[in-house]
Amino acid sequence: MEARTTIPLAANEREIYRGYDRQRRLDLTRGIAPAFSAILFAFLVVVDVTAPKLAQSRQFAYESAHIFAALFISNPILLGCVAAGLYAAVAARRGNVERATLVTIITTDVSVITIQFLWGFGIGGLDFVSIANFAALSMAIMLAGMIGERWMLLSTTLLMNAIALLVIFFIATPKPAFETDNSIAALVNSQRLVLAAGALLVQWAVAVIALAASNTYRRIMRELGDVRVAYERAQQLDDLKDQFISNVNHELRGPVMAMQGYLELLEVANEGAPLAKRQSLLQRAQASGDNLVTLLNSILGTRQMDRAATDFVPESVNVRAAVEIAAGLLDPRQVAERERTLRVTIPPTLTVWGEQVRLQQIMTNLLSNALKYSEPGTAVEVAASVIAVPEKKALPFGRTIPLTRQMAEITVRDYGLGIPPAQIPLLFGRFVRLPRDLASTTVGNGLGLHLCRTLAEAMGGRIWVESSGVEGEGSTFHIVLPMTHDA
Amino acid sequence: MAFANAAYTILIVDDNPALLDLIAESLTMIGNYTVVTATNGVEGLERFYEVHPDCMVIDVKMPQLDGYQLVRILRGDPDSAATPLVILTAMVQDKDRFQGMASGADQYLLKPIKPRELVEAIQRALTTSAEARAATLRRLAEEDI
Repeated sequence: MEARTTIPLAANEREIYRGYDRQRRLDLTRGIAPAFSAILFAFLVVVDVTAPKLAQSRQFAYESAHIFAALFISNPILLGCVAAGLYAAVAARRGNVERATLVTIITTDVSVITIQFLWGFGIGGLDFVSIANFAALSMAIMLAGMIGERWMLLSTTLLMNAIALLVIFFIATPKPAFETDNSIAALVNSQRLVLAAGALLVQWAVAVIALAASNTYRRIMRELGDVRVAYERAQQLDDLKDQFISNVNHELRGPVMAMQGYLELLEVANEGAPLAKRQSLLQRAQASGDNLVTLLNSILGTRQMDRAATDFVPESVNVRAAVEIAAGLLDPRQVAERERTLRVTIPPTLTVWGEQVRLQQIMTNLLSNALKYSEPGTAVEVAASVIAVPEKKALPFGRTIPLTRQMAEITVRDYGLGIPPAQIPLLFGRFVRLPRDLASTTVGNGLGLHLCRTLAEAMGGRIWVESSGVEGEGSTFHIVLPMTHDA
Repeated sequence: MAFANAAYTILIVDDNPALLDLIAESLTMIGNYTVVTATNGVEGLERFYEVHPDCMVIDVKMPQLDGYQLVRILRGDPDSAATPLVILTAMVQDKDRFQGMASGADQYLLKPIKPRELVEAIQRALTTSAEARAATLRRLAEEDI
């Protein structure tokens, strides 16, 4: 009946960073998309009201037919963009970040291009309005940089480059109303190259600024993410320690009560009980005291080992011998209570480069777990073989050459309860016990597998587990250790 | 300080064999009760219907059926609703204590407890509950008149 029945699983840390960036883009899109729709709609109204009046201009020859044709084409497109902006806002509210940002960026691009063409091809030609509208093209780039992925920024910039060049080189200057006055047309015509260079430079400058800003932002977010990950790890460790303390507290009360109890009964019996009775009480008190000492040693011993894991002189260790000794060291009560077959398939000559006692400790822990979490009568299998592990040898200038290295792999397989796959990532953490064990009476302090990992890594190896979590299919623990250097 | 209690049967439910042994020994030696044991909640329930004990000592953390569940089941059955129940647990937090009392136990005791204290608590549960039952019966009888 522990209060906590689930262990917080280690969150995928990359997911935390992505989560921050997603949230930032969502927040921006939530604000920008509806505002953009509103502004575009206002613009549409203004253009529809003012454009037809241009036909009355005296200085330039605006043709009514062109104006109305341009409005006829651009109105539905821009209205569509207003709707698309609203759709993007809804998508952002629903948390669909990819769709919301992509739709917002495409909508912005389409609408600024439409406006550019509406004026350039339809109404005024290449005049100051067209040129001033280049600012809107840059705005689209800025927006893509703010809310989009990098590829969106890059493609928007290239698209806007193309649009600017198209407008500058393929749109005619405005027709003056009078043959004598072509000063603006002449001015613009003489400056097309400068205009083009200026427009592209400004667009790339905006793109670079947007990129730099978003990169900085991402870096800060990553650092913030690191802090959060560190905090969560500390929090998790703290929780696990609490769990550990309450566990140890619970485990200690039994033997303490038994020892105290038998001593008191001895005192009660002293008044005139037979010698055999008194001796039996005394023996039981002593046995409880022994239990208490074993419990304390298992707690303190693992703590010390944890610290001194790497403090050893490596030597050649025979795997088979170590496994046999480890099997002999198992708690005899545990073995007697839960009898089963131990199948060992290890080549007698297989040796690893490590330390005898450490390998034995790993094997004792794994075998004891295998006994603890499987039914009597099922088999426990220990096997070992030589495997080739691919690795890269580093060369100067960051180059690497692929190599394979001979390692010894030891597997311990049981056919017991198994481990739910979702709980595997935390299994080797310090103080970690599975929710099901916390809720049951299975004794443990959550240090055994942590110790196995510490020891395996101290010897230059690694340890992991495979399990389907299905009862009866059990789990397979793999330990890979360096082999003794063959000359 | 032996009590003349052999008429009382006490059922102990605990999954720790060492403690089960100690408690059984204590209750026999000091309390002079007749003792029956069970090692988990389900077995405890079965034993209850076999022996109809006068009092039960129940551990909390047990496989299959835990102590609180067992107490609730016993309290829900008219056969066992009036049986004195003593919870004996290693869980020492306040919320556990509340849960223990809320489930309907007469006494909530913490491990480690000394044999004499345990016997006194059981004695108290036996007598208090007997008085309470007598009071209830008296009241019911008076209401009938």
